[in-house]
Amino acid sequence: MQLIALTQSIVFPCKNGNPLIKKTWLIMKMTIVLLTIACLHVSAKGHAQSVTLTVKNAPLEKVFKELKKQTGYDFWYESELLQNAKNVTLEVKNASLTNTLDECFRNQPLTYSIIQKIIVVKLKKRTEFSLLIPAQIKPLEVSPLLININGTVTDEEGKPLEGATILVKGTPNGTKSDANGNFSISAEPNSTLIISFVGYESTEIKIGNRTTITVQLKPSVAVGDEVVVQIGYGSVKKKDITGAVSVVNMKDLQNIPVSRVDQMLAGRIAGAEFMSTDGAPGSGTTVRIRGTRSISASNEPLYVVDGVIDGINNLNDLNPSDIASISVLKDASSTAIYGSRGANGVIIITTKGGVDKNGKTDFNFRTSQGFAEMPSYLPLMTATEYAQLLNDNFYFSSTANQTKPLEDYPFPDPLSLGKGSDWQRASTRRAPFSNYSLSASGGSKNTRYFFSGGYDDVQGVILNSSMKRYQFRLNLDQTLSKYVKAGVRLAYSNTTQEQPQRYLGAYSNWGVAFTMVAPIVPIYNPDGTLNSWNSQAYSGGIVDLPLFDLTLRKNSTNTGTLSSMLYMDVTPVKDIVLHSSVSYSNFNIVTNALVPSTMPSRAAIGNAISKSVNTNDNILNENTVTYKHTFGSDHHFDAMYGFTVQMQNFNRISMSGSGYYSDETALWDIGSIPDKQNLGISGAKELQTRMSHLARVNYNYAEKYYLTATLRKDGASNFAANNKWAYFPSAALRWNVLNENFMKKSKLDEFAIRLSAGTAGNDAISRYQSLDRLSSSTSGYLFGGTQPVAFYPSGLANAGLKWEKTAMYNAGVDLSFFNRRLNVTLEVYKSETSDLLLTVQLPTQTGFSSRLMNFGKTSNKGIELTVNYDVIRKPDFSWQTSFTAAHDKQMVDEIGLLGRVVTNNLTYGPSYFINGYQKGYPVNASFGFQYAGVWHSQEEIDQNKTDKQYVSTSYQPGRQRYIDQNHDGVLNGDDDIYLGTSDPDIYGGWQNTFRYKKVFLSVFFNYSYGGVIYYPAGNFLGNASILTTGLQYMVNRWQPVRNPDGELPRPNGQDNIPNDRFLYDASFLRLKAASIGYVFDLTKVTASKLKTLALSLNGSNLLLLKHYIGWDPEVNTSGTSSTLRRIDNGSYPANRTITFTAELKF
Amino acid sequence: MKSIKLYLLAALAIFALSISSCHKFLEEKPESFSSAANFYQTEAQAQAAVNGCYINLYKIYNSGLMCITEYTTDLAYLNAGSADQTFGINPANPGFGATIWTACYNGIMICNSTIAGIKKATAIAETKKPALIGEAATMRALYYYIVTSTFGDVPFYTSDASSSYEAMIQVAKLGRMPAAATRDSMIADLQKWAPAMPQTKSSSIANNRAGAAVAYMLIGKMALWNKEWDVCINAMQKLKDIYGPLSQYSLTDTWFRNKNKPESIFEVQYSGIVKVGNTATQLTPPKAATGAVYDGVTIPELGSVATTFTAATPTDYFISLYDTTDPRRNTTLAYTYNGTWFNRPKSNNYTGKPWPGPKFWCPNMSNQQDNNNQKVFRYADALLMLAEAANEKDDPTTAMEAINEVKARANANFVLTSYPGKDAFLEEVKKECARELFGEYGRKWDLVRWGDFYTRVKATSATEVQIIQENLHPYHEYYPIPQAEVDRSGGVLTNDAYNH
Repeated sequence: MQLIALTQSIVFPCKNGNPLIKKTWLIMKMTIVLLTIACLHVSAKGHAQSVTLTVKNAPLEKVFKELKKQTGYDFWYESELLQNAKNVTLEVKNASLTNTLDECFRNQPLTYSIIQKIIVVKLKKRTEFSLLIPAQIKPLEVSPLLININGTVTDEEGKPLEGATILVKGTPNGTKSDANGNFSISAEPNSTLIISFVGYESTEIKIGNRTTITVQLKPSVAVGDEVVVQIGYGSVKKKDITGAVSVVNMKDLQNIPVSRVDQMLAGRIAGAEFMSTDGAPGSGTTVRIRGTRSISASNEPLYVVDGVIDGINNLNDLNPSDIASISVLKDASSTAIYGSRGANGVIIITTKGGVDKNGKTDFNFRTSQGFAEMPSYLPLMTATEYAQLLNDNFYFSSTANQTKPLEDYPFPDPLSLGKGSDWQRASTRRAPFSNYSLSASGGSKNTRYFFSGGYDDVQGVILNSSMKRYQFRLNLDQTLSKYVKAGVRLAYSNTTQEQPQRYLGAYSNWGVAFTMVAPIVPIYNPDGTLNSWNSQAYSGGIVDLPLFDLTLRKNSTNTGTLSSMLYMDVTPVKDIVLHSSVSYSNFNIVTNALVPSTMPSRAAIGNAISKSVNTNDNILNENTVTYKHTFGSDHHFDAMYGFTVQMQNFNRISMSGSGYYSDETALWDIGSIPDKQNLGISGAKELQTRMSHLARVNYNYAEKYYLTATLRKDGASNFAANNKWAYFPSAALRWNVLNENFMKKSKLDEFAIRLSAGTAGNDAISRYQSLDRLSSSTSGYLFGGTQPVAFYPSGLANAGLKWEKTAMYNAGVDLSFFNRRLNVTLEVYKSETSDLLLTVQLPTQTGFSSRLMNFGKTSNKGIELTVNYDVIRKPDFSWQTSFTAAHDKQMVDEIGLLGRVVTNNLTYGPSYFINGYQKGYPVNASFGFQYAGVWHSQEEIDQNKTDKQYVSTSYQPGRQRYIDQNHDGVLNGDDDIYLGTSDPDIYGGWQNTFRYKKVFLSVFFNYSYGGVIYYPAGNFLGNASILTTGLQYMVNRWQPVRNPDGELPRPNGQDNIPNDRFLYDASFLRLKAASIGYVFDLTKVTASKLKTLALSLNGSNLLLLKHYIGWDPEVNTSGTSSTLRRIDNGSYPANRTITFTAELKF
Repeated sequence: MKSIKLYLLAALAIFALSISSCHKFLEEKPESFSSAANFYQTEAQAQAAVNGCYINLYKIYNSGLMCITEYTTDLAYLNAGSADQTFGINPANPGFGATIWTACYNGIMICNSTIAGIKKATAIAETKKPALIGEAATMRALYYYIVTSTFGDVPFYTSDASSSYEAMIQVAKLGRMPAAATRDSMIADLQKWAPAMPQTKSSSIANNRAGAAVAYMLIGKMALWNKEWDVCINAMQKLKDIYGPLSQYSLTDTWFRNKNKPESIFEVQYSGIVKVGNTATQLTPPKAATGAVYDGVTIPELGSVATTFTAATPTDYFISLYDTTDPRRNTTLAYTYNGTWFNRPKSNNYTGKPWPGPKFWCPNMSNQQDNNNQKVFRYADALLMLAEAANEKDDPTTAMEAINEVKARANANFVLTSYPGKDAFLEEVKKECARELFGEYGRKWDLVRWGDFYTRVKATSATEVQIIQENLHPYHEYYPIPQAEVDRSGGVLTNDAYNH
């Protein structure tokens, strides 16, 4: 009890202030917690031979479990046997094991025998009497009919298994394998051996006349019950989960060589949407779990890696092959333990640890070689088609032109131009990539380790883009004594990305984007140099055409991520575990960019560089105490209390300069700037601190009724002084219906109902938002040719800034049929988010344009389905399939007096509104005008003056018209209406794994149905612009002679009106991954020096069925933006990859 | 067990000591930015805050403002498709008005906050304050001059909206106030601070800071709007005292490439790479694909890497104002370069339209980067203002003297020898303003102030450009307040003129 008292004093740090104490105390404090715990030794009882047990009408299986717990003896039986067993009522105190067992088996149709430390349960037979003879006497052993059989038991990799049980079928004879997996047993010829080992499928082998056998056991398919799920500050068995938690089956992913973790996860978790911010090598991921809630705060989930919060900078910092398990917490009951951080869901990742291999080490070497390519190209105009468009434009530009002969047109012979410049193909390539990784794991009884190293070299499909990454990891666990276990997790990753291309196709960069430059603009000059003259840029202009960026510019980002964690578990007395950890992570992000003086745009003013160094670190100390006890036989109780402290530092230095004499040295010899006026520097330092108390109680009665309650109290520095603390409670219930007596005869394998409710928060806003701010700038007004520092107000104080809170309700059903071959989970949920952290636009007459406030409400309702089905489960052939589907509806319920919060508009012309928040509309709503074709004649235009059916920016035949929603004859914001939401109606994935003997085939589809995606480049490419190329379908534009019934606009038609013609159905079906592999067994050939070699051929993004005209509807150019989903404003195309992978185990 | 107790004690002792409190731990103490509360400790800090008052000028004095003050008048037009150029603006499509609104009010907020901060500062000597406050107040008056000239009646405040949420909300609720009252307040404010500022030519003040001359100019401009002729005359006389006779200043100094010359009163500073404008892109003849060839003429000084857009076109009326002997004709308008005719003016037997002239060109322009200073106020303008005000005040002598200084510098033969009468004289002032000041960010505001914006544009540009003819309405004299601002004001702001 002393220990508990101590822990409490640790976890309740004081209330009063002592200003003299510095931050260093905190770190010391953490260290002391660890040290103190390490030095405490309190004795506890180990396994005993004596049994104390009180059970009333308990199933035999339950009694076995209790006996195992008390004695350490294993039970071995076939489950069917127990179906006819009677329940047991028993009260023994300090009784011997055999006495207790005799009591249990009294009046049962069963009996038992003890072989070493295994209790074998058998049906009573005619030979009943013989079973009552203690096994070690082995009266039949002397029978001359018996032969001696020597054998070896190995695991699936051919390594010896120690302690496997070998039984002669139909006899009480049995033995165990030794450290080398060897055993020796006597049996009658032609009898059958049953070999079993925990975690492996038991196998029956007919001996025939053999006297030596080798048995390779297969790992058993983990049944739902046995899967242990990480739930945050603890783990539970899957059958005991009360909340909505999805687990990714890592076995499905084994044969799929992905270099990114998000690729592993997409479509596999119902209700989680993974999108790449773009397809560039090494780019980030954006994830929505159960949709979007927040408007200005982040909607990204919390990542917890090996218990460390904020330990990774990016999901893709992790080496996919290091991952041991992934759980996704979705409802409040499971996320509330993360309090203020949990509202967007939590992804818990555990990396692989070592296993006890008796001091041996398993090695795994893996390499992937492959290439990436563009899955498709945008259907753009050829030079011929484009020249015809310019001729059309000439036709319209004056009535005199309309009677001129073709010779007088700008392009008298368009056909001679052919395809012209193909900027897309000139800017992209088939890009190779390779990956190497080596891992080793092993351990002995007390020490377990895993370490891995990996190297990736990935070239991007866009010229000169690339990513190089190396990663290391060391996971070490050490049992220090009977009571203390400690370990470290150490990982480092270093990534260098090169991305020279600035303009991927954002519509504002129409003059230089490789999807937009006209095909009549030559790529090269006649002399072979790169052309820099874009004749279509208004009256023509010198610009950095795409190949300049791709070949001359430098833009590299180097990210180093160090993540370390030290933990210690102490079990001072039975049932109590103290856990304390200190983690430190450090992110260094360094960017270096050079625009050399050889770029056309820099010809007169020289080169330009920009550099930045971001150094962020994170210190986290977490301490928990867990108490777990079963009262009587049915009251299972556990409780956990914890205290955490976190401190994050954010430091940034950035600089820019221009006009250096040398392009080669400008990036690094930054002091050599000829004119210091051309040097710009800035810096910032920010600190964020958090402190939390957390508690959880789990109780279950007889594994029938479960209750979980959690409470977290969080304090965070980034809220206003009086709003730093908040409480986040939750509760959940589970009813294992199957364990009720009335379900006894049910054929189901699992039937459970779960209900939960709770509150989680969101603190994902930047720091110092509640304070007023004077910003400084040295790039302000020029005074006498220099820019002295200027200070100006840039932020308003907000004394009311507080947490955003989300109340969530969840109901779930878990079902399992046909001997667990079919598993179905269905979840229904609803959440309400209030006190939205919202950047409210202010009247700019105040001098401020916006301010972060707590404002408004959103809600979210959804349903998720996960189905896993082992369609075929045969020794030589198996087919496993899993399917996920999710639907989610997110609404803006309240937005205050503002009416509308604009998040995106077309940045040309009147800047009409495309995306934003409006009360009563979906969170991810898209707005625009309704396209109504073109004016076909002056009569139509004149008629409309009275009808007021349509509005237009230009009332001329061949110009676009739009529905005049209010029939006022004026084109304005009133005609900019709701057109749809970018959220799909249903989305998910479908995974299939086939195995025939040693050949594996896996096929994974993901899909999304419904929702819209806006294509802003359509303002040029779909409006017959003469500034840029056009989409090929624009050849069908209106023309009074050639195509008088056409409904597409005539040339020079960019009218800056966002409309439903550029809004596409975002539905898609993608063959996301397919893989075929074969596993060679090398043990025999190499005398066990090597174990297996697995070869596989893999493809990703192989097929995409879509309506969208752009490359891919599954992109989001707004990065991890809270507010914008599915905006394709110049995205890096998602690649198709083909990979060959070889994996060698030894 | 003994050791356990020791550790326990040690641990407890440390925790007791570190009763350091969650409060402290979660407190935010910014280390990389300041707050108003801990600023204004030194004169240098106050000067740094005054520097901040100028920053928004860059958002305003560029091709956007040039378009809405010069290419939408009786002197020139530009039809390259934007709503500003063709009077297609409306509250939902406010054009450059949205930028002016945001930049001016951000500037006003910064000036108000700076003035309040300096006034409150206890660490700064009282004697040092008036010059600093005067500079900030002059910038504030300039922003109000721009915003009232563009929008007419607008919200007016001099309180520090950045001081608290409540102060900000009060400002957020302000509706349109009469522009004349706003100008009167600003005139009174400038009259209070101008004496404390440097009483010298702007070109003599170190580092191109605004001195008393800028304040007098703003007083004069706003007095003209308010038809307070005496106030204008008084301020212009002060400038005359400072600047002396115009004849001493060279006409070529008025070119945009010639920076901070003695005649200059205020110009927005641009330079090389650090601060670049873009007005020259629409004031230069179109460049060919290769070489330094501009509409058929090689102009080495402009270089081969300039980017030009569709250039503004002078109206026939404007072209007609220049006598062929007027030296300003060939600097404001470009027919030839070094004696070689440009293609456009050469067309139709040398009756084609000239391009905007070398006064506006930027030598060695790199792409769209115009390094020229943008002229806001200069002394010739002050003399023409004096001429106008004196004429209105029935003081022909002063009026004649003032206008003739401007005329005589161009050509001694141009001087008015006899007073033509009040109305004719005003008409002559309007023409002289056109000849002298085209491209200096003020023509439209003068037209609006004179009350003949609609009639003059209708009679000039509109006859040459069909879309202007179709679109132009009298209400275009002022820009509409952007609809987004109307929405955010909760109905306090309105655009009655545009709600037809």
